[in-house]
Amino acid sequence: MDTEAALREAQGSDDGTGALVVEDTTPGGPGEGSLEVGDVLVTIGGAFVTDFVTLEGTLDDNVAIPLDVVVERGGETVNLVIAPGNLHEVTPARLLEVCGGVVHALSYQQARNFQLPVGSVYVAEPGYVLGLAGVAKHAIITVSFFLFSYRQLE
Amino acid sequence: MPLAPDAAAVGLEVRVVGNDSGEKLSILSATLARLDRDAPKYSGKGYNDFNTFYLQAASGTKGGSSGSPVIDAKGRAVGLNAGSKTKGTAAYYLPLHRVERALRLLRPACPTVDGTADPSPADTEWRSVEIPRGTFQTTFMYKGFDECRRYVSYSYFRMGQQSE
Repeated sequence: MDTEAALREAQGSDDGTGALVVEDTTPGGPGEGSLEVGDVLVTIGGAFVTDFVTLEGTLDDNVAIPLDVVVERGGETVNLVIAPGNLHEVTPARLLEVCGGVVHALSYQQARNFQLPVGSVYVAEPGYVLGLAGVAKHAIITVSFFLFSYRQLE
Repeated sequence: MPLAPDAAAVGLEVRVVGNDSGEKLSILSATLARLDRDAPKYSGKGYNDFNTFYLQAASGTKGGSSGSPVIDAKGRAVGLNAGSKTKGTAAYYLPLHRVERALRLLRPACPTVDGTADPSPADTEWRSVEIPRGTFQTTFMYKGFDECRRYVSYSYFRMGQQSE
């Protein structure tokens, strides 16, 4: 059975109008290097995934467990193995007040907006010193540079 | 208020009960137009939802209505009011499938809601619960088959073999 027919059948005769397509992957994330923009998602763990509720359910129930992922890429079926990461781990729960400003680890939310790896230093509020230095709100500082500079201050 | 995520349907009459524009009480009405709208993009550098559909209806809800339940004629919540278009009446409601799951996982945290716990007022100890969330750090979009065929070129997509 061809892929489109299989995806249509998986959604039932009334609802089968499309499929999930990769829009972006965040650098350093579980999908990077495996999934590519434009991949049409066919199955995860052997089951067709054609809607977001099923997708999110599958990811939430299989944190850190490698999953067989099948996509259609450029007309070819590609078999991948990807383990979902823990969303809580890429969602910062603490911040650092520094010289009147606020920085914290780059969240997946913002990493997705700026297409940078999670965990870099994110400037939520520049405050005095970073403001004087011309570092704008939403700026992202590479970790090594930030740690180096911060230690100099100490 | 019962949650009824599967009761959402195109053409369903709904009411949005809340505090629209800061009013003490507002009830706006609308007809669900879509169940499969792309997650609205509010800002290039702020919070945007993704990997979910949104419900759409022309309820004209503005600030103050966020978080309002979107209820059907039976008083069941079919969506959660989330946002709207400033130049228009379109409003976007979060579907409740995953909300229902989060609430189900949260229940055991509360001593009086958990069926197995002692419901006496003395039992006030809240337990910590986990709500597992997994991510590929990948955004998916729902695309019609016409567009999917263009991603992979029509003939290839039709011919790609899929084991059954």
